[in-house]
Amino acid sequence: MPVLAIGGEKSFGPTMAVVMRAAATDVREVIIAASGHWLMEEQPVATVAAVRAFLDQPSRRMPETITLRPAVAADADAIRNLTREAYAKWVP
Amino acid sequence: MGSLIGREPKPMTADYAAAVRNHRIDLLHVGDQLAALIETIPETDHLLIENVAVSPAFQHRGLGRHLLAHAEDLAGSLGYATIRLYTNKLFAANVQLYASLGYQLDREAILSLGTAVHMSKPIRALLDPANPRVELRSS
Repeated sequence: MPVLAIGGEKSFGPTMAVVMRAAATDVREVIIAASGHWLMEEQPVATVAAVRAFLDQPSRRMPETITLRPAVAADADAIRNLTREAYAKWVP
Repeated sequence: MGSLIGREPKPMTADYAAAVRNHRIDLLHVGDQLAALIETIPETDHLLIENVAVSPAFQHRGLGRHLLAHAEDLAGSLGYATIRLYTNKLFAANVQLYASLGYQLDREAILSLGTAVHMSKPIRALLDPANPRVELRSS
């Protein structure tokens, strides 16, 4: 699950993301400049912009037009290609 | 950055012409594009997830967990009480994802090619009236 970790520059800063990564694999780190602990009071525009940008990321939304079907013999090449692409990040 | 495990992972070199004949492979399309797949094998007392893969262009959108939930439904509809999977211990992000979805770590097996992590999850009873997905299947 995508998680947004926002820290104030003069407060927790990157520590918010460090803590979140203990429980989440997909953490986006944001540090609000010129802010202490009270982000919404001290830097409301920057804080809202960070949250808005996170929520608006189209690539993080579950696509709406999903279909599921059992594969047939003719799908074997497509299955191999997709699997090789998906696992390529583990290979040099 | 070097290779994490020093070789191609097993699913990259598997025989998919045989796999598609012998196993159930469900394909997930987004629009008309193949985006993800899950391969399952019915064993004596559990359903095994042999392979789950999401195209890089479609990762981080929840498709993998959607397919895992689908496989768990499949396991329940086939009467299994348990679903199992295994992965390479070095794929730490995967192990963490499966754990967050309710898969428990059963054992680690040290093989010549690396350490395999075996995980499992109990499947809800098929005749649970509180489970609406059961009604959906029987209608």
